[in-house]
Amino acid sequence: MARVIFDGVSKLYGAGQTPAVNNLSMEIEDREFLVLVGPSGCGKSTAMRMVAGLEEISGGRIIIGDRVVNDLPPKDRDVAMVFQSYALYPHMTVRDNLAYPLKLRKIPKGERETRVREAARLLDIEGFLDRKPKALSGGQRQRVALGRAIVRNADVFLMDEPLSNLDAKLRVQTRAELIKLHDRVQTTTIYVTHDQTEAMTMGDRIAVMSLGVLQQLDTPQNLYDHPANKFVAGFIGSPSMNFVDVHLQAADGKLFANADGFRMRVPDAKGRSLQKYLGETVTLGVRPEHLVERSRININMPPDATIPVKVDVVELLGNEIFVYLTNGNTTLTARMDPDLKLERGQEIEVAAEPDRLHFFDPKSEEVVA
Amino acid sequence: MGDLNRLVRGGRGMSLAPNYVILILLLIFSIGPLAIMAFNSLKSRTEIGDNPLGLPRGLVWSNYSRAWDVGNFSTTMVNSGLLVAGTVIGVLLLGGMAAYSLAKLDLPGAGALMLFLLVVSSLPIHLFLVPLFVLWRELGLLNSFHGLILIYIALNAPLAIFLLRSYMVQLPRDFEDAARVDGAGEWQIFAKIVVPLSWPGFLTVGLVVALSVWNEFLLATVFLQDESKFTVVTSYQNFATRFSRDWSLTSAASVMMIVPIIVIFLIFQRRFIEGMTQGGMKG
Repeated sequence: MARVIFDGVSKLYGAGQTPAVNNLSMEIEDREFLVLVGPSGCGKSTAMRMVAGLEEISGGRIIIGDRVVNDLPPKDRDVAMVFQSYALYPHMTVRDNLAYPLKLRKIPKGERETRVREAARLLDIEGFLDRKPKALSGGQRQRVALGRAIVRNADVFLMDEPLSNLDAKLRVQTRAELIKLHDRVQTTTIYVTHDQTEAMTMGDRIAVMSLGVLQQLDTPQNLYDHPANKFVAGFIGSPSMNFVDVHLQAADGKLFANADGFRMRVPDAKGRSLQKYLGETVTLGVRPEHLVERSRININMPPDATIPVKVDVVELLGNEIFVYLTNGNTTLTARMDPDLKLERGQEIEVAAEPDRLHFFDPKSEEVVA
Repeated sequence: MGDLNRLVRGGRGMSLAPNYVILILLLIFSIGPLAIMAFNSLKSRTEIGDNPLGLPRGLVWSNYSRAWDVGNFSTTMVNSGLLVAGTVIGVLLLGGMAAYSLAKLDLPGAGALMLFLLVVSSLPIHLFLVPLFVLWRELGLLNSFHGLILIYIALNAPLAIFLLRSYMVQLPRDFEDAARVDGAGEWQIFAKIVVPLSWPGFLTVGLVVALSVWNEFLLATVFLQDESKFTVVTSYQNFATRFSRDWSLTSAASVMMIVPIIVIFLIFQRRFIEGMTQGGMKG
C-alpha cells in the first residue's frame, strides 16, 4: 500500500511538440481509488504508464510511497497493471499466467501455488486454471488479467481501460465487482477510462484531463455540482451540459442574460459575481436534467426567469425523455418526465433553479458564477 | 435436402475444373523431374542409356548401397548435419536477438541498419569469395566446420533478421509491457515471451536456413578441402570420373540427399506455411 504523488510531471515525445502530459501535480492517497478520465489523447494513459515505468518521465517527479521512482525500472516499482487488451501470455495456461510475476520475483513454489489459488478463488476462475487464454471468454480473460495483478500484492494497481473490451451488460456487472474487489484488497488504484459513467461510479476521486493538462481533481459529486471550467462541465454528465453564449445587461437594478431568441433574468445569487461582466458575453451552462418545465418548478420563479422554447424532437427512453428545444438559433437539451406528454412543435417555458446555473468566462472558460 | 447438397457440390466441382487442370499441370512440372530421378535410381547403368525417362524394367536396389559407399554418406551426412545444426542454432540465436532489438527496442539508426542489411545481403557471394578465402586461411579457419559455419551464419542472418523482425513487429507491445511490469528483464522478455510467441517465425527461418545450408555447394567446396570434411553435396564429385558419370548412382545419391529434407518438410509443413503467411498471433 502506498500513496502516489505526481510532482510537476511532464511528458514530451519530441522537442517542439506539445507535451502529452503537461506539469501534472496531484496526490493519490493510500488506498484511494482514483479515476483518470478524459477524451482520447488527453494524456491519461501516458500519465499512468509513467507510473508503471513504461514511459520515461520528461520532467518532474513521481513518488510511490516514499521513493522517487523516476529512474527505477518497472520491475522495481512494485506496481501491478491491468491492460485494456488484457495482455495475457497466450502460450501459458491461466495458472502460469497468474504465477509468472511471482516466479520472476523468485517466490517459492509452495507459496506461489497458494497465492495463485487464493486469487483464483477471489475472482472465481478456479475452474479454468489449466486452460489457455484463447479458450476463455472475454469476461473470463478480464478476470485472469485482474488476477495476475492481485497475486502480486503490489503497492499500486494500475488499470488501463480494463472494461472497454467487454459488452455493455458485462461491463456494468464487472464495474460493481471491481468496486467490491477494491473494498476488499484496499490497494491504491489508478484507473484510466474515457467513460465518464465508469469514472463517476467507481472513483473515490476523479482527475479530469484534457490536452495533457489536469482540469480538475475532486469527488464525483463535486465535479458534477461544481465543475471548475467549461471542459469539465461538458465532459461530466450525459447528455452533456447545454452551453449558450449570453450577453449580460442591467435593467431596473436587475441583471439579464440575452441570447438569440430569449431574455432571462439572472438569479440574484449569481448576479454579484457577474457584475464585472456587465455589457459583455459569458457562457451560460445548464444540465439537461436541471431544465424543468414551468408547471413542475417547485420554487417561486419570477416570470422573467424562464425561457420560452419550442419542442423540436422528443426521444422516448421509457423512464425519461430527452427533449430537444429551440428558440431562435439557441438549442437546448432537456431530460424530462415522460408524463409531461410533450409533442413536437409544442411551445413551453423552461427554467432552472438558480444554483443549477453555471456561468463561464468566454475566453479562459473558467467558471465565474 | 441431400440431393440439393449433392447438386450444389456437383456444381461447385464443375466450376472448379479449370483450376484442377492448371494445378495438375503444375504438379506434373514439379513432381516430374523428381519422379524421373527416382525411376533412374533403380535402373542399371546400361538401362539409363536406352531408357532415360521411362519406368525401370528391373529394380536395382543395390544402386543405393553402392551410392552410399561411393558418396561416403556415412561421413558426409554427419558433416552436413553438423553444418546445418551449427548454422541454424547460430542464426536463430543471433538473428533472433538482433530482430528483437530492431523490432522492439527503439534503437537509434535501426532503419539505416536494416537498409545496410538489405543492400549487403543482395550482393553475390562470388564478389568476396577470394578475399574471404585468404582471410580464412590467415585465421586458420580453412577446413574447419566452425569456420564455414561462421560464414553460413553471416550469409543467412540478414534474411533471418528480416523475417523475424517483421514477425516480432506485429506482436502487440502490451505483452512486453505486461512482462516488464510483472518483473521481467529484457532477456526474460525475449526468451520467455517474444520467442515463444514468434516461434512459427523461428521455425520458418530454421527450415529455410537448414535447406540452404544442406544444399550449399560453392562455399563447402572452397572452404572444406579435406575429404573427411566433405558434405553430402560436395561428395557428388565422387560420382564423376574424368570423362563420364554414373547416372544411376548419381540418381540414387540424389534421392538419399533429398529424403531428409522431404521428411522434415512433411513434419513441419503446416507450421511452415503458417509462418510464411501469418504474421502475428492474437491473444
